[in-house]
Amino acid sequence: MKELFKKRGFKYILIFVIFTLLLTSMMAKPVLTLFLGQEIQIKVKAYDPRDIFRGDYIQLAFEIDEISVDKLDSDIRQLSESNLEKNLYNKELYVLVTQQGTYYEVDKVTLKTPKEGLYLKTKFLYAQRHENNEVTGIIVEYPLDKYFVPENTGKELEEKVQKGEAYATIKVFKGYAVLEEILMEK
Amino acid sequence: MKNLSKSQYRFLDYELKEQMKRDLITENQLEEIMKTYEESEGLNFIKVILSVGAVLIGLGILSFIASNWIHIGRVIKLLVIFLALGGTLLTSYKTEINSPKISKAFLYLSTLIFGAGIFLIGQIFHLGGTWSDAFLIWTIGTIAMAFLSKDLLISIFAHLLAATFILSGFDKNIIILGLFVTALFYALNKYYNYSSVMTFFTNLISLIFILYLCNYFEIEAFYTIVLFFLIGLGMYYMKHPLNLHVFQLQGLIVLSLSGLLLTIDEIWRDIFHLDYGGIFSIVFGICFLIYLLSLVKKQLLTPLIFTCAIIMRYYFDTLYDFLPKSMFFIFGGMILLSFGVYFERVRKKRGGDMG
Repeated sequence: MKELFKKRGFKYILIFVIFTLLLTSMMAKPVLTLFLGQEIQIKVKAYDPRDIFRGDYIQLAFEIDEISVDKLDSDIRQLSESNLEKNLYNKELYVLVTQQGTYYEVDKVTLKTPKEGLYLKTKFLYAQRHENNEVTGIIVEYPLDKYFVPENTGKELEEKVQKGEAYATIKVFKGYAVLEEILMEK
Repeated sequence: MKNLSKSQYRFLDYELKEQMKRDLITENQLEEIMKTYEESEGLNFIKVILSVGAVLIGLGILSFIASNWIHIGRVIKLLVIFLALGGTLLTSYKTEINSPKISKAFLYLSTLIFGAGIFLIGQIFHLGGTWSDAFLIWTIGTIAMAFLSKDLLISIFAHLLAATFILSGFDKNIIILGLFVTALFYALNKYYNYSSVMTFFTNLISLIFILYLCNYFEIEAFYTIVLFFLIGLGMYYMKHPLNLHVFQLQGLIVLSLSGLLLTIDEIWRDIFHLDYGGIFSIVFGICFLIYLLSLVKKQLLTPLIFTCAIIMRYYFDTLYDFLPKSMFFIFGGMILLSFGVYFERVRKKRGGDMG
């Protein structure tokens, strides 16, 4: 092995292999999801900022981000209400979705991986509370919050999204979701 | 082997040759002595031009990826990235023997193209979130490149990427990944013959990682600052063989900065919930000032800068509202001037050493 490392060309081939492996490993999950995942539609809300490295994008929020308390599974409801934020901080949640007309909506949220049904992995963001501090729901975050668009072209799409005239097509595979595109309602 | 600047190396070489002419040392002895030193590469005009050129092209590619140009398909963009990676690495290989500087420039370029590839994939698949993972992957690739190229600039770049990764992942659980990256950097130190610059940046990563841990485990500001104060003391006083002077300099900076923060009474009040939290801060401030002055007495410059900062901080806090503005600025200026004069005298005595 040491002899191999001493060869001048070997280190260049090795670094190319390492770079290629790292880049392809990043693509593995999204590509697998695009090929094997189930396609669903969800409603979106949006605004249009810019990422210094990845360019212009539309920041998306989805209707399935807001989850009312009656959709939470019993293991989540059992957690102390006053410490809900602390108990759920950085925890992975599973959002089961079912089709209601054209779009998919939240059916139930669990702490354990669901054995059946279509679900998305998500992270807890914060709890919504009533004036009397009672929890009324939670807000979650999916890794689907950015839709990258060509430079200086996001405005028109953003305006239509703000009017509630757009939806997202996503592919879901074993809880992992990839955003395919944002489309206008007919 | 000790690394000397070009001028130091030439001076040593010249002096030893003079001693050899006087028959004080033999030619063998001269060679044996010179073998224990190496001449640092230093800044080279061509190297600077080539490196800046490589960085500009790399930034251009990053910017091109960011513009998400509609006329080129995504698969073509990916192909361009992989071809550019292969092309730059091949050019670096081909030029390594005859034009090592050009070879290095192409290595820098390939590291930036690798980064562009990461962000292109993020763009193609609309990967959301804060995406600190992008910087983790870029860091790991660049560390691999640093291991194979033994280039200090690439290694420093890897440290900067790691710092960005940790800072952008403050609200995530990156404990194991952070530990892994930090451990890799310390291993890299050995590989770079324990270069002072490497140790400085690796220590910086460790400090940022400790700050991340304090934030992640929601440790209160007071305890975080006290912890950094203790770390600073540890870095300054603990004896070990790994670039002790770097640890001492960073230790002084860390303990002085955290000490300066502990002179703020609000930080003590948050913990003790007492109206007289201010007393603790003043007592600490006086003890800390005495300690800093004891270090200044040893002709150290870093504590002198922070002694000046503490005096100015108390001066502004207590006298700004009471003194007429003209008097306030004149006295303030006089304090700074006195420190400046003393600072210059100490610096000249130490030959510019900042320890």
